[in-house]
Order: sequence, then C-alpha cells, then structure tokens
Amino acid sequence: MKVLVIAETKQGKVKKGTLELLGAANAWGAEASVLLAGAGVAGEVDTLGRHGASKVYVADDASLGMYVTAPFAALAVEAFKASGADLILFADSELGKDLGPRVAAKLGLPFIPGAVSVAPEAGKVVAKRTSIAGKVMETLEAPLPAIVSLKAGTFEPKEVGGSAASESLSLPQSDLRTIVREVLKETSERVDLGDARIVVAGGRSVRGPEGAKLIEDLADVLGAAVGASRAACDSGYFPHACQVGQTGRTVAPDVYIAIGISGAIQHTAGMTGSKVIVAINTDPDAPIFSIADFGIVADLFTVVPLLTEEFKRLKAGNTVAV
Amino acid sequence: MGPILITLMLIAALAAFGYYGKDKLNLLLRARKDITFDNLPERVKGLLVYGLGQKRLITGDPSSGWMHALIFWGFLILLIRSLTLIAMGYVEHFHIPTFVGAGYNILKDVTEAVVLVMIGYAVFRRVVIRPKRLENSRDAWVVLILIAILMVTDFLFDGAKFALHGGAGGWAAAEKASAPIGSLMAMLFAGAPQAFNQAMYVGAYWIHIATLMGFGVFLTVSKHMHVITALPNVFFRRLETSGKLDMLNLEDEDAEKFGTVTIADLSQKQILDLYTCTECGRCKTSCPTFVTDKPLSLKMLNDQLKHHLVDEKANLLAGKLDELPPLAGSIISPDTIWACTTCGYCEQACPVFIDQVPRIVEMRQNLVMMEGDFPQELNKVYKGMERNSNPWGIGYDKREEWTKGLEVPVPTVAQLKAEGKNLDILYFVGCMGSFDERNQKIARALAKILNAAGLNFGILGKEEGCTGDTAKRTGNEMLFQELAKFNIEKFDSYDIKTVLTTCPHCFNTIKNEYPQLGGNYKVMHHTELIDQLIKDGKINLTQAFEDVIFHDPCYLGRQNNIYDQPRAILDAASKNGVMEFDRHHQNSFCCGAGGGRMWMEETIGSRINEERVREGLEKKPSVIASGCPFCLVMMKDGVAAKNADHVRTLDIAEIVAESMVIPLQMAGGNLQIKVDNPPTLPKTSDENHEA
Amino acid sequence: MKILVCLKQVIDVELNVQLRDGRIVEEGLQYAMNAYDESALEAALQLKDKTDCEVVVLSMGPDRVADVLKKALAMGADSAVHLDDPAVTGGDSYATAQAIAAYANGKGFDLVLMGRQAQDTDAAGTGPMVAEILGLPQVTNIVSLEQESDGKFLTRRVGDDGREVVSVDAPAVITVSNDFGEARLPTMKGILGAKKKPLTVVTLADLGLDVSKVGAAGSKTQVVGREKPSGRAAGRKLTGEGPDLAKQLVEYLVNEARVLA
Repeated sequence: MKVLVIAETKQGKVKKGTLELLGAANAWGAEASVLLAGAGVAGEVDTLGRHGASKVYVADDASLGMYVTAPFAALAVEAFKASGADLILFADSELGKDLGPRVAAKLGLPFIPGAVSVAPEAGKVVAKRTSIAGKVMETLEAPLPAIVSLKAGTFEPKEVGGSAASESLSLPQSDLRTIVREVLKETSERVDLGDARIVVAGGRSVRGPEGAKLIEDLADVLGAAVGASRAACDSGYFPHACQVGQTGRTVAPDVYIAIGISGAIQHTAGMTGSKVIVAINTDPDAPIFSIADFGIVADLFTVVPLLTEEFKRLKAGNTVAV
Repeated sequence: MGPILITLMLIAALAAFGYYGKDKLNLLLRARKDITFDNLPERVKGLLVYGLGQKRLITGDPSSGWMHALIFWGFLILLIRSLTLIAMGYVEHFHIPTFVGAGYNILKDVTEAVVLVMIGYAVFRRVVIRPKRLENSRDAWVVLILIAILMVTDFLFDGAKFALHGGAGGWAAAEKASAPIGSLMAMLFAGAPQAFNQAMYVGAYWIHIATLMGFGVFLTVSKHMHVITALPNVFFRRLETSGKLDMLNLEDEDAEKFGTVTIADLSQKQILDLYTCTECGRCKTSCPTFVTDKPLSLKMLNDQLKHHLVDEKANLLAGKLDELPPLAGSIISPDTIWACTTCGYCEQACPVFIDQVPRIVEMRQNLVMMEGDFPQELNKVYKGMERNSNPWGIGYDKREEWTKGLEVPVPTVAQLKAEGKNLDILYFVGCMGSFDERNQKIARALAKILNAAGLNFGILGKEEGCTGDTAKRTGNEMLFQELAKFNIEKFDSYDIKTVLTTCPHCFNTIKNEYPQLGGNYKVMHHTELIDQLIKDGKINLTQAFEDVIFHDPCYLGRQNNIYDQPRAILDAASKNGVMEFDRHHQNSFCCGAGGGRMWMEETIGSRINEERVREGLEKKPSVIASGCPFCLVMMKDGVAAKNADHVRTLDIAEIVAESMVIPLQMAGGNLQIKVDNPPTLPKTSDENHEA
Repeated sequence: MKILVCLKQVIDVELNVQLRDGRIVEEGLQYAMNAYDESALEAALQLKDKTDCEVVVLSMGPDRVADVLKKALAMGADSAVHLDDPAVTGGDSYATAQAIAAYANGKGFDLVLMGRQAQDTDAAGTGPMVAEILGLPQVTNIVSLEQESDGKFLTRRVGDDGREVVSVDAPAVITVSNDFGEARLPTMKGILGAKKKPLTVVTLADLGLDVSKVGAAGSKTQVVGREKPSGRAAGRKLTGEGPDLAKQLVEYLVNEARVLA
C-alpha cells in the first residue's frame, strides 16, 4: 500500500493538516510519500520525515509561493506517477477542495471528499463522510487507485522519528490563465465572519467597551472572527458588521463561542449551522444553553480572561502552522 | 347696496373658484374609482357623528377640538348670515322676517362672538402653546386673519347700520332690537358723525363681502380645502380598520403592474384624502416612527403627495402618465415607506379619516413585487416563508416540537381525525409560538389553560403554515396569498370552524383577511377565550401578581377593538388591578414590530421599543404584560436595554397559567365543556369603542 | 457574453432526514435550489445587470427539477435547459461533471458558474472536474466577480489563509461561495416574464453522451451505505470555579470535539 500526501504549507512551514495525513498513512502501515510544493519549503523535508514520510517530492520555487490550481495539479500528477501511489490524500481544506477534484479528473481517479474515517482494503478504499448538512453518514467505496480528502482531526499527527529521501520535481510549464494578484490583508486584522472557522461572539452582557475588549482578546488568541448579537451592536459595543442573526450575517463555523448572549431566535437563526456551539452566560435558563454543546454558567468577566490565558498557554506550546 | 357690484363680485369669485377648483376636481375624477356608497346607514351615521359631530376632534385633543368644533358649527350657522348679506347687496333692507329672523339674529351675534374668541385661542395656541404636532404655515395664518376680518366687519357693519337706521322708526329698528352685539356696537357709533357711520356701513359691508369671496377662492388653493372635502371624506371613509387590507387581484391578466408606482396610481379616495389633510398633525402625536425620529411623518407624506399631485397636473390631465416619476425614491424616501409599523395610530387619530396604511402598503407592493427593491433583511424572511413557511426558514417539520415533554400531550387534528374524534377549537400556534423558545412557553401555558378548562382542542402541527401577515404588510401580496391559501386549504380539509390564536397578527390576518380568499372561521384571540373561561367559572385565578401593567398590542386593540378582555383577566390575576401606560387603549404606543418591522433593522432614530418601555417603567411595574409574541420580544429587549431586568415581561397566558387554581374535578370529573357557546366576538369597526 | 449556470435541486437541508434500509425516505421531504448555486446564479445576474449578457441555466434530474429552472428564469436567466434522462440519476461528482461538460462543450460560454458545493452532498467536486474535462482554468469559492476591460474576470476567493484577488481568462469555470451575497427573489414581473422564456428539455442522446458516462454507471465512487450519525450529544452545562471551567472548556474543544489545534 502506497500513499501520496499532498502537503500544504504556510510561510514555509508544513501545516498540521498535512501531518495528520501522514498520521493516517502511519496508522495503516502504508509507505508514505509527500508532494511538497511551495516557495522556501525545502527545509520541511525533515519534519515530514520525522512524521513518517519516506519520500518527499519537492518543488521549491518562488513561482509556487501562492497556490494556483494549474501548476499544483501538474505537480500532483507528476508525483503520483513517480510514487506509484494507490491512494492520494488531501486535507479537506480550501486547497484540497480546489485541487483534489481537479487532479482526480486529470487522472481519471475516484474522488472521495471530506472523509471522517478511511479504511483502505485490498484493491479498494472505504470511507465515511457526512452529507445533507451532517444529517446522514454515508459509506463510500471506490477502487484503488483513488483520491480521498480528510476532514481536519480525523487522524492524529505522530512523530515516528524517521527521515525522508527527497527528490526534486521539475517545474511545470507556466499557465498564466489564472493569476493570484494578491492575498488581502484583512482590514480589521481579523478574519471575516463568513470565512472564519472560529467565531467568538458577544451579547449585551458585555456591558461596555471593557467587556467587548475581553471578547476581542479571546478572538485574537484563537485567530477567530468577532461576532455579536443585535443588541450588542445597537448598544455600540461592536460594529454592525459583526452582527450575527436573522438580520445580520449567517455563519457556520467549526466553533461558535457565544458569550453573554441569551440566544433569542433572532440571533440563533444566524448560527445554528455551527458545528460546535459553546455558551457562556450567567443565566442558567438562557435559551442558548439548549442549543449549546458545551455551556458554562458563569460571569463572562471572570471566565473569559481565564480562557484567553488558557489558549495563550496552549498556543505557546504549539509549533506547527495551523 | 350695489346689485351690479355684488353681481360682478359673485361672478368673479365663482369664476376664480371654478378656475382653481376645476383642476382639482378633474384630478380627482381621473383617478382610479374606489368611492362607494355601500353600507349607507353607517356612512350617514359617520357623517353625523364624526363630520357634523366633530367627535374625533373633541376626543382626540379636547381643547383644540372644542375650538375647531365651535368654529365649524359657527360657520354652519353663519352660512345663512352670508346669504342674507349677499341678498342685501341686491335689496338693501333685506332681513329675515318675523321671530325667525329675530331668533337668528341673537344666535348669529353670539356665534360670531364665540368664533372670534376661538380665533383668539387659535392664535394663542400657535404663538404661545406651540404643540409639537403643529407647524406654523402661511395658510393657517391667512385663514385665521380672514375669519377674524369676517367676524369683525360684520359687527362693524351691524353697528353702523343700526346707528344710521336702527333708531325709532328706522328700517333696521326691528333687527337692531334682536341683535345684542350689533346694538352694542351701535351705541359705540351713536356719537360718531353721520358721514363716518355711512362710510363704516358701506366699507365694512364690502370688505366683508370681498373677504367672504376671497375666503371661498382661498379654500381651493390652500390646505383649507378640507372645508369643502372633509365631510365627503368622512362619508366615503374606509369602514374597516387598516387591519383589514384589501386583497389584490393577482390573477388579473391585464394588470401591467401591482401596487402604487406613480401619483397616477392613487385612487379617488386617496386623492380626496390629500385634499382633505389640514396638516393638523394629530397623526403624529403617538406615531411610533415620528416620535422616535424616523423619516416618516404622515402629515408630511400627505403634503408631499399633494404638492406632487398639483405639480404634475398637466401630465396627469393630459394622460402622459409615462412622464411621471415613481413616487418611491423621487418623491417619497424609501426609508419613509419602510418605516411604518402599520400600527394604525394615525388612522384612528385622524379627525377626517385619512387612510395611511393602505397607501404605504401599496407603495411597498410595487417595490417588492415589481421592482424587487426592499430592505435586504426581508430577503431571508421571504425565502424562509416560501420554503418552510416561517420567517427564519427553520424546517417546517419542527413546527410541533414545542409540544414535546408536555404533561398532557397536545394532539394534532390529523391524530384526532385518525382516531375518529372531533375537535371544538383549533389552536393556531403561529411561527413565534412554534419556533421561538421564549414564545414556546406561551404556547405551553395556553395548552395548560385549555386542558384545565377541559376544552377539546388540537393543533395542525407540521401542517400549520405562516399566516402571511408580514408578507402582506410588507407588500409581498403574492407570498401572502400563497401562504393564506395553504392554511385555508388545511382548515377546510379538517372542517375547522373555530380558530384560536395567541398571536394578534395571526388573529387579525385569519379573521379579517382570510375571508377575502374564501376562508371564513370564527377566530378568537386567547385573551377573549380566557376571559370567557374565567367568567364562566371554567378556570379560577388567584391574585398571584401585583403591579402588572398592560401594553395594548396594536393588532389586538386598535385594529380589532379588543381592549377589555385582557384587562379583565389581569384584574383577576393581580392584587391591585391592571396598571395603564400613559398611552393606552386606542392611543396605545406601538412596540415597533408591526408591519414587518419585526424582521428589519431599526437603524434610524431611537428605538421604538425602548421608548415604549421607558413609558411603562415610569409606572414602576413588576410585570409588563402583553398578548402578542412580537410585543413580548420587543418589551423584553427594551427592558434589557433599560437595565430593568427586575421587571418581568410576560404574556397574559403565562400570567393566567401561573395564577390558575387547578380544579379538583379535573382528576376524574366531567371534562366535556360545551363550546357551542363560545365568546361572542366584537365587531371590527372602531365604532364600538368610540360610540 | 454568454454564461452557463449549473443548478442542482437538493433536499431542503433544514428538514429532518429519515433513513429506511439505507435509503433516504422521500416522504415529507421538499426540494429546493442548492443555495450555493443560487449564489452562482446571483453572480451571473449581477454581471447581466451591468453588461449585455446571456444567462443560460442547466439542471439535470426528474420532472421536479423544472421548478428550479422556472425559478431561475423568474429571477432573470434568459433560457433554461433540463437534462431529463433517467440515466443521469445516482451520479457522483465525476459523472455529473461529464454531463455538464458535454452540454457546455462548444457552445461558446465565456463562463461556467456553479455553487462551490451542493448542500446535500457537500462534495465540492463538480466545478474543478468540469474545468478539467473542458480544459479550462478554474477559480473556486469566490465571493465577488466582475469583468475587467480586457475581458478577464476579476474575482475574490476565500482561500485557506485569507481572501485572494484572482484574475482569470475567459472562458473559465468559477464556483461561488454562499457568502457571495443573498440571491435576489423572483419578482412578480419576473415570474410573469419567465412564462415566455424557453425551457428546453434535452436527453443524453441530444448531447451525444453515452449512458455509461453518467449516473451510477459513470460514477467512480459508489455509496454502499447510509446511517444516521451518532447524534449531537446532549449539551453539557457546567457551573463552578472560573479556572476549572476554563480548563474544562479548552480540554473539550481540543481533545473531545477536536475542533481546535
């Protein structure tokens, strides 16, 4: 069994999602090779080796500094051919969503997107994934070779202490039909509500700028977007662009942390699609607790700064890019 | 006194009146015809009570109301005097003979004196009191001055006449004897030279006549046209409140558009409304949008439309309708059109029955159905209603989830039907009661009450749909009719006769607007039913509450005339009886959520609900009670905004459920309660509370 | 300019879904235009608002699919094509892409637009696959779209590390995020006008596509089972001391829900 992992990098560092894919290959006892494409990424071969890659196909060039479909697709095809892999693994990221199906169509291979469990068997791969807004768990089957993208957190990254051989791939012919002109700096330094994987939202109970600051601090340490209830925006604690709900934005992040928000339907209408909902409120009867996966009955002024500290500590101990 | 001159003046005045009045008449005649004589007795009654009787003027604002009424009645009386004065132009000695004339003379003198005093009061109001609703306009001053001149010149004329000809044996002696103020004036003039009196006699007469003619012409070009149009406007008024909006025929194959686009689309009654508005500003006093500084003043709206109408008269009368600009955007700001909560305050405050809400909804209809141009928040609301029949778009299959975990299960009509059982009452839960966690508690409270009273009821469950109130009032008639037809079909398929609602918006829509689509049911609001259950002894309450203040929901009170039942219930449940807001009953102040505003952002001015809660908190209540899910949400929000969390916001059903003594016989007694004698429903007409 | 917008009719994902013998129970379900595709249509219509542009909408499936096409026409599309062929049912992204590509090929479309994913499958595969089959460049997950003076399209897409400004030559395949902006509603005027617009029904034979390329037969993956996922566990509600609560929450998010790094 041979697995090809398509690596993703940020500022020259391999992302955690990539290491999770290697973790999958390790778990299956498969021989893992990696396509490592980007600008200034060659130094990451060691990291990949430590996490179980035996071979790394490197394409390190300034032109690959920003992800564009065509050259990455060409490199993936080349790496697939060179590695003779049975299974190509992508992370179920924006890159994985853009590149995975393109490569699948290029190679004429089956593509299973967003798997939450994968089991390669003789000649085929069986994977589970959710559909219909998480209401159904499907089991999909496809003959090998195949391409699968994995949801974040499906496998654990694991250092196995090996080292990888590296092989440079030649750069593909340039295709100038698609050009990334720039990656926008968020004007507010924070990620847009709609794009955010994590949203930290405050309600009227923040009571003023100091309370709002606590929400923002927590959001910043989590790299999250700041959301707010209508009442909190009306009271001027947050700009109206932050408003989540029936008359504001509809969001569906991985984590929604509702702080001091009672959870009236006008607010929850904009966030019930969130995968995990956390609620912090002093009122144990607040309706927000009925939709929360994890609720804390406490004063936000006590518990939010503590949370921010906890996450800071966690982040300090974390070295890989996410 | 001068037959030729008076004839010339009459001709000139009539010509000018005709010249200026003709265009206005033609503008009226070309408009869409909606003027009707249906229900004649009601119209005649209205004409007497509100027109001649000036009822709304007096009840709405007693001081200025009496002032206006006295001037108005004075004018009616003085019409005869004007005719006799004109007759004097031809026959100088003309007077009404016998005791009739004598009696009239006394009346006329007293009337003129009263009118003059009232004019003085009017000036005092405009200069010293300066009510917020009034702006000083040129027209108003002109009219006050003209009336003052009319009164004064008539006194001067009489005085000079009696001084000259009222002596013993004079031809005016008999007249003088019956004219108290005229003879008083004559005493003043008695010592004056003959020539002075002669000049005064002739001069005062002609100034009076000229002013009279001028006044008549001035009516046609000023806001005082109401002198001519007010009585017809009262007579032709809409006999329904704006809770019952007309149905738009969407099947009309020839219709090129729906709703009001340009001024040409206004109906005859709507044009008459524009002519009739005197800019008294009573519509603004408790208008939720005006009070909170939204760009909607209905008086201004009338004014803008009226000026635009006159400005465009050439195009209108020439039939060049394509030249007319759309009202929305160029004449009326969209913010104005979308600000209205359709609470109906303006309409019940207007002494001359100017309709505001239908006109605004018709403008919305065009924006929504033809232009697709409306506040973006409504997009999600419409989509949710279209797909899942609720404004949030939550899956329709979750509509009965509020019944989960109830001690006594609430059956669906489908279940009852499958079991071969009938039901007496369909409880129509509504979107708020079905989906909103806060309002679900009210639905559960009501279920508890109905069970305690042993009533045989059921719900439609998943088969219930949104009534379409928001769609209707925001101008999405197409969506409204779809939603309404769906519900009517369901009701009829289960042979539903009686519908009970907790939401006054559902109540209003089903009761007043479903009949237009063929759905006729006995519709009850829960406060009506609970009141009846208490009166019938089916449920007993303890006085578990105190300091409860009641907020009148617009669609319960003003639009449907239900004021007493909620108060009777709260009286029964509280130790010290129900407390009132300063603005209550028909003067109640809207919570800000009606007319689809519940689903839109309120970004302009201050917040309506906070203004309402501020008013309530002044009375230091422990509970703000309402009978409407929208009001409840707004009150709850307002209380939180005012940091008054110690004040509970509750629906009447919750108060009743908390105060209820569960009768012992419930355990195994006779549960079958007759509903063949349900509470009688009041009429929708606003006559009931005003009469 | 000529734009093709691909529309999928999906199960209304707001509804509860029941399974029987590994199949979705149809009773009580309702169908709707995929919200992401609705955004794609909105993107096309916004271009049409600004420039002279023909918008063609394409959908495939049984008779009920005509509903989404009619809605699209009412929203402002110029013509609609319904690929109505029993053979197309049960296809995965690849089989679907084959059918779309077969229709779009050679018709002179400057843009092929569709939602970045379907609400029912959440697969997000079709767009890039259509691009590959047609040999066109792709931009996925866009939140804004405009045409530049040189005929290129300028988009903003949401990538992993922020929003990217991407330009792409026509013709191209572009997939649209549901964050593009709320799609417009059909107006009464639109609904009445839609009755006069062409809605053409085509079959695989009309496209010259073999039945083996599409539907279940043309799929490279097979669904072999469906089950209800172990439902969301009942929420926990903790009270206690601040530091302990904070630790427990972090522990939950990192190790149990595994949604944080």
